[in-house]
Amino acid sequence: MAGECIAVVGRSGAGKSTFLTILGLLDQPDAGTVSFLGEDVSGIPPAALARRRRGRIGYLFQDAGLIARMRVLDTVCLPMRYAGRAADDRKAAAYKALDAVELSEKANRRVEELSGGERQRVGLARALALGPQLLVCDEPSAALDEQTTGVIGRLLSDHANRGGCVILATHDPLLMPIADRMIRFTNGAAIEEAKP
Amino acid sequence: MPLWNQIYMAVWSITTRPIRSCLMALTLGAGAGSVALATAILAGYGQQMERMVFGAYARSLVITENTLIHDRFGPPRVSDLEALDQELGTLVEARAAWRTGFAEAQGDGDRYEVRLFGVVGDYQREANMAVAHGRAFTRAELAGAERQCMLGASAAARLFARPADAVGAPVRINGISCAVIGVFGPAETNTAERYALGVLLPFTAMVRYFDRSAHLAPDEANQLTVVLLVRRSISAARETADRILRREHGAPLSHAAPFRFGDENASLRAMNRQRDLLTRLLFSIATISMIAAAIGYGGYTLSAVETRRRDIALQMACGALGSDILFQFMLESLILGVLGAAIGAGVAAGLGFLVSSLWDIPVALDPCLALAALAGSIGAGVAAGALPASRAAAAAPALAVKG
Repeated sequence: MAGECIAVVGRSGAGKSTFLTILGLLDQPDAGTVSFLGEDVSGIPPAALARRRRGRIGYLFQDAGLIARMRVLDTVCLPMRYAGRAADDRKAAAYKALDAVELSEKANRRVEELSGGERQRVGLARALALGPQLLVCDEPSAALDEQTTGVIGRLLSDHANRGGCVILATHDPLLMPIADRMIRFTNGAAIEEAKP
Repeated sequence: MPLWNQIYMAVWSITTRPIRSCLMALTLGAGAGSVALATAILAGYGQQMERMVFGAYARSLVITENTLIHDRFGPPRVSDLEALDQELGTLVEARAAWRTGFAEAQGDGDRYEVRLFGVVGDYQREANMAVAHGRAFTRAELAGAERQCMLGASAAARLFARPADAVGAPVRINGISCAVIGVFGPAETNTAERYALGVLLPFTAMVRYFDRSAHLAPDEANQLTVVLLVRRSISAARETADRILRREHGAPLSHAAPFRFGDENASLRAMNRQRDLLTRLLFSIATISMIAAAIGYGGYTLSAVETRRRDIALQMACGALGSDILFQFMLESLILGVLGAAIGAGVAAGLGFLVSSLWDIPVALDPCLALAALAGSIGAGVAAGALPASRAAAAAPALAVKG
């Protein structure tokens, strides 16, 4: 899966978001097993699950999932703060990630002052700042213009090319081309399909 | 997560919601302030009562003749003061003796019956009196027999149209002229009240010119007072004084005590018991206020946790453990508790000043009380914040996915 970009598709309510939540170790399944980096993590306590996702998994949510009152720089630094990175390292990595999404000039703005597209780019900068092994994206281009969707697609593709794994729930035809494989959810079942 | 980062997150959370944070701190501050103010009023009341009722008497060994037995050993003598002073030594702050009698006195108006006091020693210290007009006796004057006197505030008001004019004017006591050198201010203690309607003279002058008492010999006094440096040494001083006086007066130990030792401490203890009752009552009311404040604070925090549920889930998705969130919320409570305590202490000091100046209620806010308010506010904040913090820590990170 390393270096791959996998698209997850299906109708609304088919279970895509639940699948991503479990895959991102944010939740446990009611039944079955989950394996992460070769380790069975089914049924382990929430704190242990949190330790496993810390620094290894990045998330990009449909609405960016940012804390409205936080500054952009602090937002990008947040995962690194929890990972115990030193202040100087944090700042340097945050500016690098913000440079990548072309928002470093807005580092001191509050998130609530940004447009929808800018927020999504900040969300992506936060997800990528720690260089996660797995990047989970839930409908990242919903309500975005073509240009911003293009920027996000390019960055996701770059991450996969650098050896990261990207799992992407989307209906957006602009993002589909970056996927190497596709998983379709139908009637609660996942069917793997070839490259879209 | 390092402690510094936890503190940063807690401070960030407080400062980004300033109005809510202020309201939360004010809630705790109101509780802490009510406790601090109640305690300050009680402390001030206690101090004032002690001063008003007893003054230096609270630390005094008061020796009088035991009037229940008539024997050859009493009453106490002025010379006993020397012996007491020598043996009690470092325990003694001041000593005084007086004898009293009634006389007719006339200033610039009518004649009145007044009470005469022949005093020697630190009589002014014993009664906590201040001179309003003129001056007090010098040590030499007290030891001498000049016909000089000082008037209590009420006596001066009766004998002279204007008490200030009494200084330098003569007053006739039982027909004998005596120069007024000073007038005392209004009595502020019970012991000073004793002299309010009195005319004070040097002990020897009173014996020589004005006292018609057949009961007392020239060296004998109605009362000896030894003011001690600390109140707790009264019991020990009393035993020593009994031994000295028996020796000086030749009274054997087998004989009933020829002198009475007034224990003002017992009265003080009785008064303090009453004050303790009042303390408990007022403190209960203040504690209820503190509990109400803690409940209000808990409600605020719980509501904040509900409002911030998704933010908490997002923090968890970014790597926060439940324990990080718990610690962050507890730190917020701690910081708001400290702020609340500072507000409470400030409010208590301000209200205390207002109450003290408007209604003349004594208030004594000391640093220990401020620290107690600090501890109370922090304790209430942390205790009331514990449940909301644990709920926050149990938030499901999967909520981060739901916008």
